[in-house]
Amino acid sequence: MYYLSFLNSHDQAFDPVAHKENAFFGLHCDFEEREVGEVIVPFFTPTIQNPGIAWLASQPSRYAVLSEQAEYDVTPVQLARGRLSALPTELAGDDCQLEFTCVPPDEDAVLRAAANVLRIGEVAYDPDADPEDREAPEAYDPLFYSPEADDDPGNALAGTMDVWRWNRLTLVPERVHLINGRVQHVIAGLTAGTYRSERLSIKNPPKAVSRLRLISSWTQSASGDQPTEFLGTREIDSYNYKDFIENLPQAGTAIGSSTGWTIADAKVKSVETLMAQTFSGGAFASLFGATNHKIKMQPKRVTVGMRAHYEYSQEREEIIDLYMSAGVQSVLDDDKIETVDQITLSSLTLDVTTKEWLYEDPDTLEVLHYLVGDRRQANGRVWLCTFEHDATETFTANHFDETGEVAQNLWVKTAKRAAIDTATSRFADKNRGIRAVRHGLRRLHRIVQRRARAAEVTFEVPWKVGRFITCADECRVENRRWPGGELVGKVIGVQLKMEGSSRTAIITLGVSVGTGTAPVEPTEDQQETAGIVYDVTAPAVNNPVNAETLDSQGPRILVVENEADEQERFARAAAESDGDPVAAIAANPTRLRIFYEPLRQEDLITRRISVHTQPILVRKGINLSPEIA
Amino acid sequence: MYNGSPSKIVCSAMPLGWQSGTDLTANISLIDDAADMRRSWNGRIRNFADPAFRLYRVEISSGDGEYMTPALTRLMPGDEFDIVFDADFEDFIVTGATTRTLIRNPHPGSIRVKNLGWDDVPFSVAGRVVTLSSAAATPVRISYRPVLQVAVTEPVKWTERASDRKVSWSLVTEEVGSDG
Repeated sequence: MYYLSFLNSHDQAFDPVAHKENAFFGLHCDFEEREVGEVIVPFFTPTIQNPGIAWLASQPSRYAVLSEQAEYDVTPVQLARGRLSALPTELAGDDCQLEFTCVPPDEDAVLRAAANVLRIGEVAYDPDADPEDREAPEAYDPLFYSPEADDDPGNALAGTMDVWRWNRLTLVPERVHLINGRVQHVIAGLTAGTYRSERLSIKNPPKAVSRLRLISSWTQSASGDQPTEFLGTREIDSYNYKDFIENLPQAGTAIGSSTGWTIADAKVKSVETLMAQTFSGGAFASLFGATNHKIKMQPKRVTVGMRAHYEYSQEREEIIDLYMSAGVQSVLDDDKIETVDQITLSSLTLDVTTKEWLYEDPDTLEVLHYLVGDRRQANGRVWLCTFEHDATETFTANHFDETGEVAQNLWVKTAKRAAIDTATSRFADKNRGIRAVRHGLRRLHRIVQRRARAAEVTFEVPWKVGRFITCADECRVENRRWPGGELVGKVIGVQLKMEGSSRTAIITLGVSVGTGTAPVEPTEDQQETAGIVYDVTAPAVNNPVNAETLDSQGPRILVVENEADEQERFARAAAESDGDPVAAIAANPTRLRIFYEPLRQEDLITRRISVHTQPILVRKGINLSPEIA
Repeated sequence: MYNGSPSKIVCSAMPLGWQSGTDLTANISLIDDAADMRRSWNGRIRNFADPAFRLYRVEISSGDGEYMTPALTRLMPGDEFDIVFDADFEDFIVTGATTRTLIRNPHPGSIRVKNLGWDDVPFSVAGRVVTLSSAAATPVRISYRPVLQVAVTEPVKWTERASDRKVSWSLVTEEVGSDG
């Protein structure tokens, strides 16, 4: 006996007495849940007698519970509950088909909230930590998603072996493993399936090696003023100090040509008068015709503060090829490498986890409300909300009163959360890159494992067993018409048909065609994530400029030519040989020669990294080459 | 029992009367939906049908001796009524047992309980439960006429031959079953 009774609310407890009634005259009913895509949504479609002009009015809610009291049930048991969605799906004469979906009222929000818990942003990640501590950040990597990723809850499980399923009895979302069931039902003996209902078909198993290519690209850049002065303590003595000071390079003057270096600022810190020197004996011209005259010249000691500015940017790309070999039985005689996907990672140096600031919700056009602690990006910066408020019409960090004074601070600038520092020259072998590689391997693992469920098996089981089998379970089936006589597989489809006296439960299994061989324990050179053992081959980084140390890089050549001592020597030499000491000094002015190693920029530096896994463990659900005893 | 009719049918919705019910045949079977037989892949047979569908179909039809139809004109498909028809349901009590619950309500006074020697066995009835005064020494037969709640499932038809006033009619009913 089946009962379809309306509920007061979606989560009202099932009452075997009150709900043992039929809201309509039920004719037949189909129930189905099937693993399609990332979310399993069970539904049932009862066909009832057309309620006529009274229609479906006056039901307490749109939620109804489908229950049954079979001959072996003491009290009615719940089969499913759901929301009346289409009203009706089909109306044909006296037959009226209704459709109930097993989801709570705000299913999108509920699932999105459940998915958002899994979305781990940029966090400190230690690749050598315990597997339990690494699990969450490896299962989700924001670089593989856009900042609006949370619009689609299905994608949050891409790095796991799970799919979402709405529990048909509680309407709560749960995670269901792709390969292993929660409960194993044994379909043998008393519970054996119906003769000639069984079907086995082999779908497309994974190739010997599957490849996933990750492309990460970023602009390595470094720019800034060096914090220390490169002439900070050097004292320069000069006779032509005036000229020297006047011709000090201005801020912005290039050091060399196209080297990436410029003068950040240059200033005279102190000028100290030195002892004047007298030059004589020369027959240099005198204004007054005097002979044997002397000239006194005044050198000064100048201390100059000068800092350099660097400007460096380099396009970089790392192509990470993940190769996964699967331990599957030879279904296809094919050793090809198949590229299953190519993923371009989000920009590594941008904050991809913080959402853009918005005025209104793009879907509902409601003005958004920001809470203290909300992080948003606006005007190219990341802001932290400090005061709960409805969004201002345009982004502003402060509320101003009529006089232009700040009335209330709304947002403060905060650091962006990017995957790597802009100055970094490599990615894949840094901790952050290891996280991305492992996440990529997990994604590939999911794809390969799903494909490895290549044997699809369908059969009909007795109602008593079948009515409680769900897509969270697995079945072990004995049937001598199948290779090996026995197989184990994950339930990927359940179909219950209640028509007339006939009750049919049709189960579909996805049976893995693996060898069941586990990879050996990782050696010291190998790494491991989620049971996948892998090796990384990475060439050295082509690093023409070490961008991380530019702050402390000194000039390669720093020479002061013709300091006072030298100028004096020139002057004296000139005086002794009847020359002009003034002209000699003027001909040899004190000069500063600075040379920095040029910041050599190349078009694009590409680095190719390959990751090879050991054959992964694929469940041996069926033996395709049984030994015949 | 109706005046002028030898039939023992009790049915207020279809009163028999003078010259009707003189030659009737009751054709009793389980409805087709009672069986949904399938075999497991090991060869074991099973009935997949819901036991709630173990319901009877009763067809009453007339024979040569029938001269008038009962009041059939008001019986429309879907009409539900109780009927005690003129045919026995048989049951039994095995040796050593004393009670038996009948599968349908017995018409009061229609129960006969006899042993294999066709001797009456003392008994009492409470609802559907038949209780012997002492445990059965040999298998005991129970014969009774059940009260069935039925609905007309096929359009009623009858034929009347004017020359010799011969009629033939039939009525097909099935048990109503329960709403659960």
